[in-house]
Amino acid sequence: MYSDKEINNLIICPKMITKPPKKYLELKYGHLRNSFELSSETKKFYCYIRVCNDFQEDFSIGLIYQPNDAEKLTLVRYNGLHGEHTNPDKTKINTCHIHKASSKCIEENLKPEKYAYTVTNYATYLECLKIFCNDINIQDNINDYFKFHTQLSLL
Amino acid sequence: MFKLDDLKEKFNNRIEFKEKRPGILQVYVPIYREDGDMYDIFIEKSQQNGLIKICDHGLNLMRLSYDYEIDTDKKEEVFHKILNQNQLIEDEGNIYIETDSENLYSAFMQYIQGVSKISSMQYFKKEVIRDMFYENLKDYIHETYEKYNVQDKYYPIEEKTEYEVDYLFDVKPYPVYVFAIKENIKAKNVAISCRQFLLENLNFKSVVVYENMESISKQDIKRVTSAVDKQFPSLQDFKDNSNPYFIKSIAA
Repeated sequence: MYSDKEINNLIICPKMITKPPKKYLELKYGHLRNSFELSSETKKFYCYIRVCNDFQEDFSIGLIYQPNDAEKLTLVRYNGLHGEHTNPDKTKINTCHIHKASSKCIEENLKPEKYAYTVTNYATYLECLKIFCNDINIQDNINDYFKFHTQLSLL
Repeated sequence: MFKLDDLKEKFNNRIEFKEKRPGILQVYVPIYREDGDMYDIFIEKSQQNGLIKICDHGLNLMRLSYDYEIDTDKKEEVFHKILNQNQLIEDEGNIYIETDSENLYSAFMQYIQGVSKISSMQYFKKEVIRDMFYENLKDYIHETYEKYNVQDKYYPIEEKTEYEVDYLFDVKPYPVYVFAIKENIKAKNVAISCRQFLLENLNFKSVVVYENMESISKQDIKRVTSAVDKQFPSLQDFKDNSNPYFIKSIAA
């Protein structure tokens, strides 16, 4: 069981890249993908990047916490435009949004990251990735790993 | 472009269609995933035969891949079984079904049913592994410990077949009785059997392998603990640590 404070601490704790992403997004099953691993002291994390190949405004970038002795937990997932999202309180979102794990959802046996909130600070996958890396407090120079100036189709 | 009135009527107008790209409509229907996101469903005209194509442009497999990969033959088999049973087709990640306008509603519902099963494949992992626990343990024991004269289903008290041992290692100085446990009821039975063997003054060593010790109630773990010699909390732990244990205890 995680408190909201613990979840927040896991999201913002300083992290180092332990297994870097591939240089290029790989196409599999109709989507472009990449992933990398992170650590913070003894804690381990996994990040995935997914972009729909047909609709590149539809993407997901997620941070998963991987404890040694418990099930993995999706802490946050940054989504592009994919259609409608409905929160447990029935509020609807039709824009870019961030799913975030909450103690309330965990307590109620819902998908931990079921709650999401609207964001307006990114519209593309690369903008989102830059913000995501900043938000989850990656200490490495992310420009060494991601070509933020490059068009998606060239990645 | 399409006659969608019938679909609207059947959904009591709680369905909308928005143009995603020219010739591609995204369907907004109040059917949501566990994370609150609406299912990704698109309607377009099939390039091959002019039928209506209900599809996802790869988004179901993209979502599945957040925490589950179809990366083994077994998973591929399950995936294709779901596709076949729901008459869905997969082409480079795009899961689709084709239909004429007369059958659009039934095809639409069939499509949702199929993709929701595919979206749930992450849960099959645990269930499949759980279902295969006894089988996996059996394979491992026979592959690894045949040298100990393994016998399946052994009844130490001939006239009392309700007291059963899953695997007998017929070794000196004492036989080893190995039990597999994945449920509370089995834990109770193992504890009762071992106590009965002790009452009968049988000489043996008893070993328990749990599918997942944490899933067994505390009361039942106490019962087992007081009745057996050695417990391995999981199959993986048994694989990692049983060999030195058997070498030591069988040689003793």
